[in-house]
Amino acid sequence: MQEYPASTSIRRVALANGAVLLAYENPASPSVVVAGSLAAGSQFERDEPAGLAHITAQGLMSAAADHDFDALHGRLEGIGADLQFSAGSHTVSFFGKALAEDLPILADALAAVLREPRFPEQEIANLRDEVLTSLHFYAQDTSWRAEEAFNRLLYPAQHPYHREVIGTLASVAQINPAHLRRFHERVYGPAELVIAVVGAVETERAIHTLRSCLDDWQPLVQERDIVPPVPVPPLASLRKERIAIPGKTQTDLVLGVAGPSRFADDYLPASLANSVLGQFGMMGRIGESVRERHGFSYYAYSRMDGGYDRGAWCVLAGVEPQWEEASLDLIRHEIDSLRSRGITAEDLADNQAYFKGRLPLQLETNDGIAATLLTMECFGLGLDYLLEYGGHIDRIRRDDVVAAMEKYWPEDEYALALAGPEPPYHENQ
Amino acid sequence: MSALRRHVLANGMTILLKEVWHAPICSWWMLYRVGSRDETAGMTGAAHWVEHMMFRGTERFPMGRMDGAIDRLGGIWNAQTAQDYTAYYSTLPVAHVQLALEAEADRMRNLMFLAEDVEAERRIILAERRSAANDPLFALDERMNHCAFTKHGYRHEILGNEEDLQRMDREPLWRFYRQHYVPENVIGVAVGAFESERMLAMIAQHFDAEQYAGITSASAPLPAKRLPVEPAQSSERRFNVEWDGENEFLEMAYRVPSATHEDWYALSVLASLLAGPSGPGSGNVDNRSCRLYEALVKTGRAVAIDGNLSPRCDPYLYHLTITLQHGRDLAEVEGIALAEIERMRAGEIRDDELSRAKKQTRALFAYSSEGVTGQGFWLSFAENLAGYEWFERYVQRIDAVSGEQVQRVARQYFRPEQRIIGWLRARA
Repeated sequence: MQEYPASTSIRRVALANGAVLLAYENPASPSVVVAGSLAAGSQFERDEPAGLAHITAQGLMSAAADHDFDALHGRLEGIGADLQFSAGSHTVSFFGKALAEDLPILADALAAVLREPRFPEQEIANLRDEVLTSLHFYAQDTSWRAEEAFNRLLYPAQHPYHREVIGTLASVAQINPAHLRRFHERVYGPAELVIAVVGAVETERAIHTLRSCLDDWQPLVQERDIVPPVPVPPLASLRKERIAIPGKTQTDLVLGVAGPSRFADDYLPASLANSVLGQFGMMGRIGESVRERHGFSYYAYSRMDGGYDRGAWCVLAGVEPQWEEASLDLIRHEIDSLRSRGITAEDLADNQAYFKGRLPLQLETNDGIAATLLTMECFGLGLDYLLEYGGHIDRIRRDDVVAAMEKYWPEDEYALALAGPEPPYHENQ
Repeated sequence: MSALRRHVLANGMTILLKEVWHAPICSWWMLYRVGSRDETAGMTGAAHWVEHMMFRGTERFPMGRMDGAIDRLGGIWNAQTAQDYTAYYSTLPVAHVQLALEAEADRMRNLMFLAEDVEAERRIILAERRSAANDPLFALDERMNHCAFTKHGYRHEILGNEEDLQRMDREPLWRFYRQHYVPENVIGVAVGAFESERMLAMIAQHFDAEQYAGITSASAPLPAKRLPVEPAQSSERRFNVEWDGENEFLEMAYRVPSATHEDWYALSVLASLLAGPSGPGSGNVDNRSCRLYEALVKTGRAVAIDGNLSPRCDPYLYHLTITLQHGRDLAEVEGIALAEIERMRAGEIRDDELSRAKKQTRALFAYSSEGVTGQGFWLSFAENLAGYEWFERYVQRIDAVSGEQVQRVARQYFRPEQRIIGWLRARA
């Protein structure tokens, strides 16, 4: 029967080059997951075209070492395995999956693309065109446009969250393989690499397989860039932007503030406040009001990103255009109410039970366990965090929740972005 | 894989039980054998609307009570409406599975179905439909089904037509619920850390035949499925959709038999070779070594290929959706895709391709079986389709496919007169 992963069951090895390997055996399924991250996100772009970190991460799978594109993908897909990379502002994340018997092939491919990507001209040209096509599509996507505008309003121009990791049509068009090679050479290294291996593989064998592929990866020749954190100044007032997209039938809105980072002392109380606001039950108080009671939208919920820096804490909703203002009034009312009146003892008990109770489901699959191990390692929570977690949750008090709301949601200071059809709106559009 | 047990309760409800002991949780699925294919004229969207109404609650479990109760336990609780079925599921600590059984048993017979709730859900579903319509591919898919099906219920958009959603009132929805939400129309599946005998006793207690005496087939006969048969297609069909964005998409569909047909497995291998891994769990693996990727993406004409062989109870479609690279020509991309399909029909299937497709299927099957929720879904889905053995023997059946069979089904089903082609074009 399930026992939570802990220091007694997780094998953690720090290699001499700085890479950290975590392994956990889960015999429940004949598959294995290899997931991880390394510090190679968009914040490491210097005076280079925006979107370079994104294309570099995607381009890793174009060719590596002695494997060209066909050999690399044919080898993985031929065994039903998968390996994907994606860049964020801080890190590049990867996720691989295979049958347990094929871990050596997956590990070998991962090491090859991380260490010796080739970025061939033709494949990178195709990849660049794929990204440009995606950007054309996103320009018509109401939720993407609203969130992009929201981030611009919320974060100062120097902050990595101000701009989209994928870049812009103008910046991506400039990117060529030489950019990728220089970025890889300068940023990709083992020092801040973390990998979790979870599945039907004995931990020592999993560690040995990964170690043999990565042990001799030499640290970067030059000192990596130090990216000082950029403070997020108070908004001081409402900042609002509306984007009209012809032909759309509904408006997406994002309303919010900069929330706590995952390192903040009040991260858990703020998470609990977020759950009450727009998660618990049928999307918390926001969902209950905007969707269930008034029928203004199909989805209305809140999200708190956390992470390495002060990620967004926001409410997102897709609303009928004629009910935009009414929906916003309801959302603001729920936020104000949570800040001024706090939560009930029942709210607290419900959400504490929810936070603790969801662990068994979260840890049921290899994917879920791997994601949890990475969070524990990357945010310094310790290998026994899951054993201590219940205590952390039980110590949250109602006052802590109000304090988090007062700190992060000052009255009338938020960013609001809307993207949808052009006014005037009609009942039956 | 542990043994699976199948029972039929006295009231006709089918029960599947599978013990999985790796975590102290249980997934309970209730699949009703009714979906959008069962809707009649003027009633499109009814199956999905009733699904929404099921969350409006009963006197004993009023709206929101179960959401909160399940969350307090750290569980999940949701539903999905499809063309062939409507399914409700909860995954929660096994010690509390009784709560899910109680709530599902109660809402099968005691839904309040208040007129004001019907109106509230009308607004929410219209909002859901308009939210979906923001995506141009929604319009493309909707037109594809309209073009492919003139009689059969697969013509219906699951969310319903806007006009039907505006007009339909409580009474026909209530009749739809009463007609289809009866024990003999249900497949109940439990997967998790329980002893089968005890679980069966608990299920039988909650879904006791006597409690359902008033709503079983004795008083509300469950009609045998006599769905309209789609007339044979004799020539290629085409349609165009325009939108305000700049991207262009090509959707191609070929008529394929029901997933119960013996050719299904060879078709699945064919789909793998053409557009990437196919079968349970196929969302998990990339498709950069398939033939269409080679012909269209690697040559810079398209940016993505998505192949979809969705198992259905009745003859349906194999879909290919191709996202064009910005500025490329739809006619050119269509020509290359069709040439590649013709090459598949004319040429031989290599042994290495066949082996690869089989290995992929084994891996995908392993991924799809990882969690109890996924297993609960696939077992209830397969039982509705053709019996749970359809899922359990999937890998074995794929392993038995030969290259000759793949070539034969390519020739038989991928004929030009069997296809429907839709273009999603940028408005000039």
